[in-house]
Amino acid sequence: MGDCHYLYGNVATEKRVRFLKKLLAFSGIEEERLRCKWVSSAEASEFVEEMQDFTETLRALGPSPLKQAGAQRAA
Amino acid sequence: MTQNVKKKVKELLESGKIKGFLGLCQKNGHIGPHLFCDPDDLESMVLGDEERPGDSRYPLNKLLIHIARSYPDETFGVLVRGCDERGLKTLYTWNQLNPDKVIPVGVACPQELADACECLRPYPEEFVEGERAEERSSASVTKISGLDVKDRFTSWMKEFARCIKCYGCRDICPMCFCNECSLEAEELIHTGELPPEIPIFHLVRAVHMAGRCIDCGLCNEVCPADIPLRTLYKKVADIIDEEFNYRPGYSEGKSPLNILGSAAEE
Ligand code: SF4
Ligand code: SF4
Repeated sequence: MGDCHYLYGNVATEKRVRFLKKLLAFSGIEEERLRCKWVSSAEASEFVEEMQDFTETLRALGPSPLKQAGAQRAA
Repeated sequence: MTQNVKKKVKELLESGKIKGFLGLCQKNGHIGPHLFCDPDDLESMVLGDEERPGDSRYPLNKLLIHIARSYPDETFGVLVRGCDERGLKTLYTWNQLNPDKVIPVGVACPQELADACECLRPYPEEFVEGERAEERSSASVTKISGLDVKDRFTSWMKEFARCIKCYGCRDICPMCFCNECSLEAEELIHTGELPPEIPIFHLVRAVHMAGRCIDCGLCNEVCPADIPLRTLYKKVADIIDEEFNYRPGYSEGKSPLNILGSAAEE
């Protein structure tokens, strides 16, 4: 941590994500929909694995409640 | 009820310790903010309790920011309840006011107001009027936390759906002092369009209150749609406390989310 191209970018991000997950949960949006992982540009396979895993998680959760709310608004 | 405050303000003005006192006055049947500058003209001063305790509150410390900017060398007094004092403290950490130029005069809130606000500390550190009421925890937050995730979403959406996007919650908030507001950033919110984007409008505001909201409840009071905004921001403050051991206005120092402050240093 702190060893970021954008100086303290990852420090700030880690804090925000920690906060946001809990705020999402309180607002009724599953916190698993937000994920933060550190992957360097040299770690392609880690990135692929992570994305596959995240996709699985989202698939299991089903469509986001936000999407349904948007559809209702448009109707 | 205002006798002690008046006495204190008179002293401060006469001794020249303050240039003016920002409080509340009653005129033509209305209560509003007023800058008292003459020690012999404090007759109209009130504490903002018209029909119910504290039913006429204003973001006095927000107004003080503007006054202080116009008169940077002068010291001003200001009326504070517990929440206003937390506001001052937090505004100092965000460099919006200079603590050396502000003299707060405190009043403690009656129990009725402390109950209605679910206030964690309904009194300032020092006060000349009122009695210390009992602290209250937040039943409204506990209630929503008890629902399952789907019901939480439905219940918030039902509340947010009434929003008329008047920006009243932002405009009255003593902690909203940014020159540029995300709630007017085209990429996030389409200004001038109704109905508002829900829940994004409200969640954006909630995120920006992290490390800032001092739980004065003015947003909730001003909202024409009676959206329980305060409950949302109370939870925001709880999360920041749980995660970072910081509660604006109660803890010392800068917000853990202040990029110019601790985030950069840690
Ligand atoms: S309670 Fe509302 S008005 Fe008061 S500081 Fe928090 S967000 Fe701002
Ligand atoms: S005060 Fe209430 S109605 Fe107005 S923008 Fe804020 S939440 Fe919406």
